[in-house]
Order: sequence, then C-alpha cells, then structure tokens
Amino acid sequence: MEKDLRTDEGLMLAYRDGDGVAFEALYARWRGPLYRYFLRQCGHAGQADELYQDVFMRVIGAAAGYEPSARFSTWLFRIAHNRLVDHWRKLGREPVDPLASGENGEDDEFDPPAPALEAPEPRAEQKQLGAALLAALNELPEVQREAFLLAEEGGLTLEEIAAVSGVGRETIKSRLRYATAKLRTKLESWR
Amino acid sequence: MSEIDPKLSRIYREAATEGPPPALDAAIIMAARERIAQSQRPARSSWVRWMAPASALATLLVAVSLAFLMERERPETLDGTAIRGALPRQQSPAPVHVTESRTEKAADSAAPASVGKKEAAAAPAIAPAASLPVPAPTAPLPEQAPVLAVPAPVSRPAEPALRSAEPAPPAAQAFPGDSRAKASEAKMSATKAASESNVASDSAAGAAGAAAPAAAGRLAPLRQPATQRSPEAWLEEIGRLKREGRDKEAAEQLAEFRQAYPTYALPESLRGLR
Repeated sequence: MEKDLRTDEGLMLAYRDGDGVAFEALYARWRGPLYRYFLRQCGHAGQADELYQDVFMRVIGAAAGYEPSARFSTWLFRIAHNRLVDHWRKLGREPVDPLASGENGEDDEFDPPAPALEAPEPRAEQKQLGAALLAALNELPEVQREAFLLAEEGGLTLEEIAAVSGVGRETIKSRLRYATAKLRTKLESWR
Repeated sequence: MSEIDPKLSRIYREAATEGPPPALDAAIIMAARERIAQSQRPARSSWVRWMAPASALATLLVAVSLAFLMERERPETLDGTAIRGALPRQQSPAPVHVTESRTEKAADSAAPASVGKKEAAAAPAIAPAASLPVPAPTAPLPEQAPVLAVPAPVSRPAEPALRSAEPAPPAAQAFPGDSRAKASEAKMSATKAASESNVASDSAAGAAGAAAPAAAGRLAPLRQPATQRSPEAWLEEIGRLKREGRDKEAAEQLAEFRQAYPTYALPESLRGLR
C-alpha cells in the first residue's frame, strides 16, 4: 500500500469530509503509539483495549467538527490523557507525582548520569535490554512515565506534553529528566 | 528531545512493538466507515421518513378524487347521454315488441344479404344516440323535435330500427311523418344501402355492444318512470296523426293505447277511429 504523504491534520480533515481512506491511513500511523501509551499506563491489555477503542471512537465522533488548531498528535493524546485520568478516577486512583514539591521543576533539577555505554550490544542482549527498559518504565511514577510515553510514542515536544498534561513546561522537563535517570539506573546492571 | 537519552529512546522503540488486536482495528475502521455512511445518508433517510406519509396522502387523494368523480357522474347518468341513448327503448312494452317484429321484417326486405337480425336487434339500442346529432336531410325539424319532450318517435320505433340498418338520415326516426317515404326510398336503394349499412350497422353494433349494456345497467332503476308515457300525451299524438291524415298509424297507435289503457275514456274525436 502506498504511503499517504498527507499530514495528520490533512488526513483528519479529509476524513471529516468523507474520505474513509484518509482515516485508515491516519489510523495506521497512530494505532501503535496510542495503544502502547495505554498499555504502559494501565499495565493491563484488557483495560488498554477498552481505553484505546474509546479514544478512537471519540476521534471518529469529533471528526465532524474537527479543526486543526494544534497538531493532530497533540489533540489525540490530549483525548487519551483525559480518558486515562477518568479511568484512574473511576478506579479511585490519582496519579501521584513524586516530585510534587518541585512541581515547577526549577528547584529540583536532576542531573542524570551520562550514558555509560555507546558500543552496540549483541542482538540477544539488546532484546533483554529492551525488556529491562520496559520493566523499568513500568516502575516509574505515572506522571513521569506519561511524560516519557508522550515524548516517545506521541513525539510531542515539552510544550505539547505540558499542554496535554495540564502542567508547566518545566515540570514536564523535570519529570522527563527524573524518568530518564531512573531508567538509566535500572539499566546499569545490563552494562 | 534532549531530555531523553537517544540511546534509551532507541532501546525503547526497538522493544515497544505492541499493537492493538486485529479485532479492535476492524471495529474502529468499521465505526469510521459507518460514520461516513451516516453523514451521506441524511438525504435518503429524510426520503424514507417522508415516504410513508406521502404514500398515505397520495392514497387519500386518489380515494377522494374517485369519490368526487363518482358523485359528479351520478347526475349525468340521470339527465345526460345515457337517458337520451336509452330513451326509445324505454317506452311501453307493447310498442317495443312491435318494433322488433317490424324491424326484422323491414331489415329483411331492405337489406336481406347484409343486415342480419343481430344488427337489426342492436339498432334500436343505438339508433337514437346515433340519430341525435345528425340533422334530417329531407324534412325540416318540427318544433317538438327534442327527443325527451316529444313522445312521437317512441311510438314508431320500427322506422328508427330500419333507419339504423341503413345509412339513411337517422334523425328521421324522430319524425314519423316522413318515415313512409323513407321506407320506400330504403327499398329502392337497398343494394346501395347494403354496403353502406354494413358500415353503419357495424358501427351501430359496436356502439350498441359498448353502450347498450352500460346504459341499460345504469338506467335499469330508471326505466319504469321514464318509459311511462302519460295517456294524455299518447292520445294527443294519436290525434295529431289523425289530423295529418295518417289514419292507419293513428289506428295502430290507438289499438296499442287501448291495449295499454283498456279502461281509459277516449276523447270524442278519436272514438270513430278504427
């Protein structure tokens, strides 16, 4: 299948105007990232399925009034974030930010250690390293993990992650630094 | 993004390859297509929504129109062409029998080859209708020519029957005064009339086939009141025949009258008529 070169926003506008193929192209681009966002945040495939489907249903339902005021990925992950917050509230859980005292991020600079190894790892080791990273990611506080996921899966900038999460840019920056440092620490044993 | 170590990012992307189950993909794609179908549906759904009331309205309209037409047709049946067409057959039964016998005789003599009983029998039914619009070519129309008002032609249905078998002016049926002359003319021009009468009788038979049952059906309940001619009018007609010197016809009419009204007291002027 030939790759659609239209932007996400162009595809969404085309879908709004009745182009079903545009939606399929858009869906192919974002199905993996969004699903993994929920899978990492929920840790449960069943819940991830439900939330994932719900978000895409909302996208479909909102297509008629879609106007590209932001990047499509930002819009998509804002919907996903809100849905996740609802989900947590329903479960009686509030994502706790362990860095709440330094919510502004300014006074809580975290200096992660420099990357230890630059040399390429063997294939099997690389796979194990990936599994260790995913396990380490799962141990991160939700807000840090979300910041990481929004950056990695959504490709969002600090500002966009901040807008999606409803916090300041520096807070996101701080969360990301802490998340990166913890992940590195967890992976040290593999080096 | 500088906040994330590129090496960590690479390791993560290589490790994180999960995706939604195919069933979920299918459900979402289906929902997306359904939304497109729904957005394209309104025109048809509005038609579907209005189809039932529109059908009901059309049915109602047709029903009302039919009822209205039937209401309008009823008065026509009473005073329109149907009465005119059926009137000569609505006379008293006795003259009708005479008419038929005369018709057969006259038709046999006038056009034995081509004019059959069937055509002659059909003739009385259609003759008046056929004769009405055609003016009499030989005799001027008397004042009392209107078919409904004057009973004279009713008493002499034999000539109309004969005329109907011929192409001769059918209006003469309504005027018995010149019927004798017509009868003689008919005999003389029998050969010529035979061919023409084929056409006339064919059309007459066709018209009778179509019109007579319909007229008879429509007028069946009306026949009795319409066929009754008052004795006074009949006697007046007989008196007129006598005054015109047509004693034989007057006597025949009087005989029929006596048959129809045996106890009716005849006027002085007709008592000597035999």
